[in-house]
Amino acid sequence: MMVGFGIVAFYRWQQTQLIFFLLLVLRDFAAGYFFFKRKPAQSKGPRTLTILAYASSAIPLLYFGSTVSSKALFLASDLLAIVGFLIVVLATVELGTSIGISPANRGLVRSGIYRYIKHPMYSGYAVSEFGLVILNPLNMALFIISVSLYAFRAKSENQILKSF
Amino acid sequence: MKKTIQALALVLAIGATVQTIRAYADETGFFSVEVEEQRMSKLIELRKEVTATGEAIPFAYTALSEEFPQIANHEQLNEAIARQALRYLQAIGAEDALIKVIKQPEFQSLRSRGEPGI
Repeated sequence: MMVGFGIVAFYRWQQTQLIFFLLLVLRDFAAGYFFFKRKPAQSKGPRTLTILAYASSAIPLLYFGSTVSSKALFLASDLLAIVGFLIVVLATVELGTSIGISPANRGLVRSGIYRYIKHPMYSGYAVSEFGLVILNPLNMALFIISVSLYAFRAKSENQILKSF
Repeated sequence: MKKTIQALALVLAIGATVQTIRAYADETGFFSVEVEEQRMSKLIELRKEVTATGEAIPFAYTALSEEFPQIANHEQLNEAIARQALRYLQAIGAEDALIKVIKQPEFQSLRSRGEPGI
């Protein structure tokens, strides 16, 4: 699936020549590779948590389009997306084969960006999603739901890793 | 390997930031209606000239093309016309009207080509 997203991102780069899409290509292919090569989980969360994690990953697809025409807001939104996805890429690469969508123990990572941020992947997504809030106030509701789910997933991951 | 990918990500993020800020600066720059109008007219003239002379004659040999050295073929000419048309619309303050019009059913083919989404 990640490779599929990577191909779409590459197509978007070819269409628009926006370097941001190359960042997405890098993230998607790196994540795809790590998913393929990842370690088996030593312990996993309950099934409901898995469903919730996948639902949480799909929420960004529901955000509404922009209702503003201010170029400054578009600039702010684009910059937030770049910063957010840079954090996500750094976290993805640092996680390596410990990567996963549903909470599971595939080994604790404390190096790289994880030294400074406990859950950089969720933080990165939250930063980039906030960029969509400033383009359409309706997105605030989705943002609150999304960030709440990230917080819940982070808490569940902490518990699974602590119990190991 | 890990460090290389992370360094590449950083370079891409910096590149994307520079590109975004530059695009913003270009877009918010001052557009003179007269200048953009003249440029638009010249591009239309160039297109007429090229259409009249046919594809066999290189663009560089046409009189008007000296003003547009970056245009070397029909594709580049079309792109320049499209870009100039948008600059002209910006100059006269018709951006919102453009966005409104492009969403109309008669321009559906333009939208479906440009919005596969990710």
